[in-house]
Amino acid sequence: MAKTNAAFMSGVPELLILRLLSREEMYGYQLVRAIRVVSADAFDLAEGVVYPTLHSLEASGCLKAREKESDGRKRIYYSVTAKGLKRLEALTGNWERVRQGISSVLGA
Amino acid sequence: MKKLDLTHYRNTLLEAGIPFRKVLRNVRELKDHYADLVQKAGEQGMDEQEASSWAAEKIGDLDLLAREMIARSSRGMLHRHPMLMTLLLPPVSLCLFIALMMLLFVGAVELNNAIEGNNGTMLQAPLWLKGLYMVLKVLLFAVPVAAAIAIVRVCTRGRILRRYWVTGLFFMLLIGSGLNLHVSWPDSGNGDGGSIGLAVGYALSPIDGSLAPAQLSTLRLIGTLMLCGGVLMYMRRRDAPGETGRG
Repeated sequence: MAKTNAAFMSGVPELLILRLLSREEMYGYQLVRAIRVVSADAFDLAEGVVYPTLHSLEASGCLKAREKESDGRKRIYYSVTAKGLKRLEALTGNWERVRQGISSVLGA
Repeated sequence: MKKLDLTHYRNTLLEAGIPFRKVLRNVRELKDHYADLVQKAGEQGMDEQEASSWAAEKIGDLDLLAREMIARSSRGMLHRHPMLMTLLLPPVSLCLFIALMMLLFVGAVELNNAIEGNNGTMLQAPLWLKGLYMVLKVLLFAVPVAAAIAIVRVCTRGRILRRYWVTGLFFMLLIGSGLNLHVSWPDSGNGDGGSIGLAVGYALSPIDGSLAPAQLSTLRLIGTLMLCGGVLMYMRRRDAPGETGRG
């Protein structure tokens, strides 16, 4: 159980990134800013976490990247693939189980 | 004033074997990210120096970022075991080519025999068969060169350390220069039925009835590669304008 939780906690950035990108495609800076805004400053993921996660998700086929011009600059936009949506579903399910478990313990 | 310098970061990723295209894209992303942070800091009232320092600090430790990128990158066999692949690919590809070449030639001889028919007289090699032999001889020389160029091309695209592709080149030359195709044509005059053989080694080798040192093959291979070197350098510069060689 402890092992499952440890693995899950290391997947939190993955969950946040997949969730936000499932709504709309974004580029790196936009994503970092969105995580902070949507989480009301609860999460301020460092670039050192975001970019390796993005590239790893892309390599595993959960994300796809494309070049698009924005504000006069060519940016790399990321969006979620069908495989990414399945991964998001699995991570969300894990998160719900952990959240319920913690709520139960705290409420006991 | 702290500024973002991505040169070391880029080289670290390249040396780890992450493909050139991916590294360039990631560096470009970080440059854009940095520019966005500087712009945001400027909008918040920081002067240029403060904004640059703040943005560079916000991006964080580039060595740590590089380590994370390397740890999470999927790298092919060539990138994970460059020396092994450099030493393994040339002999394997050459063996396959030689086997294919011998099969082709033996098949052609058999076909010729079937066309001519065996009427008890010794067959003479027709012109087309001699032509095929010449083509195969040239290919036997060209294939090591082509394979060596392919190794350099793949390695320089992936920006693998120079010692790997230099090793690959010399290994290819070493193998290529030790091979000699030898055919003795059927001769009704002295009753010779003809034969085909592949000489492997670095002693004096029989080529077309005369003796030619294997070193000559080496010189021919090196000469061709030197000519190709210029083309490769040109392609490398064209592919990566502004990038400097390394390794």
